Amino acid sequence: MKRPWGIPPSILFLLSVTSILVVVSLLAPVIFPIDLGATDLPHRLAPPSIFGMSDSGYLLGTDYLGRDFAIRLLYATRTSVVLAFFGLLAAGVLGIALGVIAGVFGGIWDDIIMFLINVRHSVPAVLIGIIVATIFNSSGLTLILLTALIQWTKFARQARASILQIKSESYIECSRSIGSSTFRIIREHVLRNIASPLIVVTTLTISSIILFESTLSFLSLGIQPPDTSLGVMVSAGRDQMILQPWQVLLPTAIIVLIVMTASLTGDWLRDRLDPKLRKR
Amino acid sequence: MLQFTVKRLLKGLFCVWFIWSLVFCMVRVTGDPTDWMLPDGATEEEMMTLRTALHLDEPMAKQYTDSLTDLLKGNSGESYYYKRDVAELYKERMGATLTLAIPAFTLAILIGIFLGTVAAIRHDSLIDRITMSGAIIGYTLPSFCLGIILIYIFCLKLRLLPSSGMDSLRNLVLPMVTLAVSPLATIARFTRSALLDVMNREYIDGARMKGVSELAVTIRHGIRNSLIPVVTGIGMQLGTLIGGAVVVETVFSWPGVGMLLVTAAKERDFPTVQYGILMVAFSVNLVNILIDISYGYLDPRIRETFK
Repeated sequence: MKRPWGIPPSILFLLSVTSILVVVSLLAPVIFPIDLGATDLPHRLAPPSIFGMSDSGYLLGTDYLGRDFAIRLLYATRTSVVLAFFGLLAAGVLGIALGVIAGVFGGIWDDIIMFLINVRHSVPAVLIGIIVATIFNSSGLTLILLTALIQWTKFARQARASILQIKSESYIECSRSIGSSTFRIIREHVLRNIASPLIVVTTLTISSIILFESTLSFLSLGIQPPDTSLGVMVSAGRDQMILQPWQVLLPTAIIVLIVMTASLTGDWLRDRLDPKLRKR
Repeated sequence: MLQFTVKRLLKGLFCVWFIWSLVFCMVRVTGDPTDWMLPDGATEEEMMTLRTALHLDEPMAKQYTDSLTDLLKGNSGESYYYKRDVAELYKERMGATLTLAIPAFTLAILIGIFLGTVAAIRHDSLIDRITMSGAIIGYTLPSFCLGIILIYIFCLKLRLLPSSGMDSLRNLVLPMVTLAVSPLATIARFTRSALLDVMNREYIDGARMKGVSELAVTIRHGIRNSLIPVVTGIGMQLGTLIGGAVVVETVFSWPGVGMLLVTAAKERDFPTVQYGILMVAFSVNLVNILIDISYGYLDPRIRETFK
């Protein structure tokens, strides 16, 4: 079989597994409609029925409140993926807008935006998350806004750097000389020409966002029970570690799978899109 | 060079001041800590007395100028919760964090550079693949998951090491390893790609043609020239390390500054939060400035541009 764009088999494999997982988890409320808050104490910590380990009827057993672990894991993945998507969107829009302003207008705008980037990087992401999430109440919306606040700098830096590179190209000058407005130049030429490095940043940022969300939720500063996310699952599974270690290992494995897929795909895309590195 | 350093220092100070002011406003905008500090059913009068004692009844502008002048005089304020000088509080806890962070960071730098170099010299070999696969797992595995898994293996199953407390060297092993893994993996990757990049340059071929031994080429020409991106990479890991320390201290109940800061945020202990963030922002900026200056020493070509 011919692989599209020469994508390495390992990345193709990771991408397929992650995509299937993401699609199934997004459909979870349709396939397995459950009430996340409902508990079933008589069936608490039931053993898994997978591989014929028992006949409990629960594929991966139940948690300390008697809830089906496999279904909760899907709901958790869904929450983390949805939060990452909206966080990425917000960070991307904010970052690209500021990066374009810094690159195109330069001068004082550039100074202010570079200063803000420096401010953001003076305090580690987890600390910003802890302070903001404890002071404001922690919810999904807070997490999305926090993600935007923390990750915008990557997009802004990349957009600015790419613009500085293409700024003096003759096609920009041509467009200006035939009377194009600045806005038109940004839309028609700048954004189109800086798109590919930004795709790479987007892919690589997914990993940071998933790690950030799960860390905050683990510290009980993110998603609040009975809602669940991958970080919440790890935190709750911690107390069941001796009897049912998979309650920590499975959510961990999903975090690692998503983060690894995103960062390896990002690395590959970067090498692929950078003509200097392309060896052929 | 001097002009550059001074300019860079002023910029850094401005940035630290800005962050401190931001935190100052943010904590105050979102609520009054006296609700949290007094028991339920406290009278309005008691709340007012407490507010006056903490100077929270004054206008924001006055609170701000007072805090700033206090800070410039070297007075960090008193913690609402511990009723003690904040700087003292951090000084006490700093020891625990440094016992954890210094060995972890040293380990990460030494092993990271070593593994990265080995992987680059033998690139595309089995050793390179194993090292780099390990590095990928190292930086994709969240530190809290790694911590819990290590506790499970070494404390619960093998019963070799304790999971919390800090009375002996054995207590240090697990939190230190947990903290070191992510920066180690990143430094190894950085070193590998920087060294590979340098080893493809023409001056390396030139040195080989002169008949310099491969070991000397790698060390004197390769590693020395790849130091700039590696040092930048290590500097950027400082933020990761501080963030990681907060998480690791929570997982292993390690009584360091990270734990102090997290509890202070939860208790709305304004002076403690402000001072903690101030210290973090200050050290991150200081390290970045030192890195910028060190470029001049690492690379004579950059030193020329300063003159």
